[in-house]
Amino acid sequence: MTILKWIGITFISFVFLCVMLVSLMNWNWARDMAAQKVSDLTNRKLTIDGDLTIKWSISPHIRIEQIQFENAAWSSQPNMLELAVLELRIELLELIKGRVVFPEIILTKPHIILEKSPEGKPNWTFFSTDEEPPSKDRTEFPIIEHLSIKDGSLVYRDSSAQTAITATLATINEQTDEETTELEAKGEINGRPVEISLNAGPLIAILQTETPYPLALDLQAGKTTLNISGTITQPLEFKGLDLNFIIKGPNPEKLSQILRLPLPSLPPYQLKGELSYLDNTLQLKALDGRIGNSDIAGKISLKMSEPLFIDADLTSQNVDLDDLGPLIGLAPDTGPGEMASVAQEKEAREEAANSLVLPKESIDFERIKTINANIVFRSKHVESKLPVDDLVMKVILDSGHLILAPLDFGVATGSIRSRFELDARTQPIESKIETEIRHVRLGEILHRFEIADKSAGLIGGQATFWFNGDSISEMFASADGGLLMIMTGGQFDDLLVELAGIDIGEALVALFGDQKNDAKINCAFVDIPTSNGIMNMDTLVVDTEDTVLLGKGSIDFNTEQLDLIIDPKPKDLSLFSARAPLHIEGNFNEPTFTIGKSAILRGAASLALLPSAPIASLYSLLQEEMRDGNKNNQENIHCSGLVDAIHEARD
Amino acid sequence: MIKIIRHIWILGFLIIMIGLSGCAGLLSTETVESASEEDVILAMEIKAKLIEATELSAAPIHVEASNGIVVLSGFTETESQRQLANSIARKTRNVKQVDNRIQVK
Repeated sequence: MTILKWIGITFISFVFLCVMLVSLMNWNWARDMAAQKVSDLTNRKLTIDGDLTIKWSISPHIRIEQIQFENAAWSSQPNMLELAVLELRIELLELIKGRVVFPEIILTKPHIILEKSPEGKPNWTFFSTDEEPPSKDRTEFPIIEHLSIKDGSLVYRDSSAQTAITATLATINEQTDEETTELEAKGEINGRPVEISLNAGPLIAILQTETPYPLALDLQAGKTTLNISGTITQPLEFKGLDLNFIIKGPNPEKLSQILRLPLPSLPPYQLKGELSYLDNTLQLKALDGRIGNSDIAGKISLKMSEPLFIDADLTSQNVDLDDLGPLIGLAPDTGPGEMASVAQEKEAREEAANSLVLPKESIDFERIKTINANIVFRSKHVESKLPVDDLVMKVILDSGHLILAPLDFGVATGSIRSRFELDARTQPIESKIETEIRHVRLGEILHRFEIADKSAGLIGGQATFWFNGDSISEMFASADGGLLMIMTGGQFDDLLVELAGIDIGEALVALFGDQKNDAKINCAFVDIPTSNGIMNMDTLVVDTEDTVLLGKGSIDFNTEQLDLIIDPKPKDLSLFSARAPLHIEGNFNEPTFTIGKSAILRGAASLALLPSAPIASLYSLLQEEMRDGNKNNQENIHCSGLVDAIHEARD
Repeated sequence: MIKIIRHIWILGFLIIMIGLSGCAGLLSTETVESASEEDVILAMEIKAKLIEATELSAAPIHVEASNGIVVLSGFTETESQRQLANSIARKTRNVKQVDNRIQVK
């Protein structure tokens, strides 16, 4: 009996061994089992049409051919993943210890489709939202020592965001230990065409969190190019960035759509710097570049909160104010030596064709609601139509409420200090500007207009205006407020030329007779209260050597029409014959000058009725602020002369 | 000869001018309404005091006076600035009454 029992056992063992041997040669049963298991787990069908073969050793080499993994039901593509060959080796000894270690994985011709349905559902989640994933425990990630990809391709599609990218992916293994990953992608992101070329370290090194992961990225979107190179220490966490970037393009606004960041509209730019990311904040440091004709340096940090928070400290040696024009819907100057993109040049031509002076285009205030900011900007030199020297500006933007304070321009020995406030939360938009002009030499401004610098007219003044409107034109048309200004020195003819931009020889003869040299201004004062876009010039007094010119009239920003009378009152009545009032009227662009038509303003010219007290009150704005706090009294000698004369006339 | 003609021309021009301004003076209501010298000076004095007040901006405020009655119009940022303009005007010598039409923005 015992013998029979042993024969039986031997026989069964033999059969079992035979089965084992056969099985060793054909592992397709394991293949089917694995496929079934994955299919059950993901509710998607995994099919393996090819063979599974194993070469036995201490680290068996497994090769599976023709793997297909089914795509989500809503997709037009049947498979999410197609893989010609999967080869891997697994360490048996480590497996016994309970660790999964793959010394090598090779993917040949993987074709991966990642897509989002029009409803925004990604195809890489396998569980419906109400169904919890089976296990939340983080299983230890298997260790892959070496991962290579041959002829890979990757498609990313998000039809809801107009994004579709096709990429080729491969690992290049020229030297055995220097493996790199290359990705070449082309397609569109958020409806904008892009080309991306990425050259990075070994794929598997992404998982290592201690060694910096090298990468070099080239991105091209339209005419914008971006190069990023450097290392990331924790690539998956997007932490420990040590990257340098160079970006170049026609207008940063063009990237807004791709980056989903509210970027400003500016002229062509080129910028380089260091890029890092920490605590949800993108930091751009050691910036160095140009925007239009302006240079820029400093640092910017972007906190990716909702809304975006920008903290920036920027300096510039030379800033062309013109370059900031696109921010408020103005095209930059496009003459020779000026940088502007093609679209901006077109805009400039359209602007030139428009007969109204003030830009009508609405400023895009929606954008400032999406940003909060704290920006400090200093420029040593400002390029503009005015001889501005330096600029100090602080921008605070808090949920659609913009404050520009200070907004200070230095002009030679003087200054123009402003505070600007705008509330984009109101409709129409409310804004306010307060300005103080101190000790500004008009002569220098005239010089910019290529008018011989015969004089050194000095101006001081203050203005406050409230606006309601979305465009510059609307804002002016709704302006409430007023302007007070005092001037000493300067030539009246120059001033008129500066204001009107035309030759008004005839008008000058009317105002001053043939002797134009009498046009030298001793003191001038203007008071213009403004309501509803109409500046009512109540008082204009220009005191010259032998004539006092009085002015009155209105400037209407609703219709962009002028209606001003300048009436000369000779101090010596014997000169009366040659003087006639000058009527300036018509469109801002082309005012007409009519002589002698208008009425005489104030009965007889009485010095006593001139505004001596307001002039005296504005003296201080003509004075240069000295470093020691004292004020230079030399400057208002002519205005105080006028004030004295007025007082004398009253007694 | 030319000189004489020119003189005649100027004389004629002067006569016409004087005639016109005289007529204008008769017809225009402006001359009747126009403020007296005292009122003009008073309004300017108040404006000057507003300019000197650092707590408010004088540029948007318009001052008119008629027989010692002062009308303030224009705009201020706050109610307290409006009140300040009012009290500056009232404290000015020769002001009988202040009509404060300043609008607070």
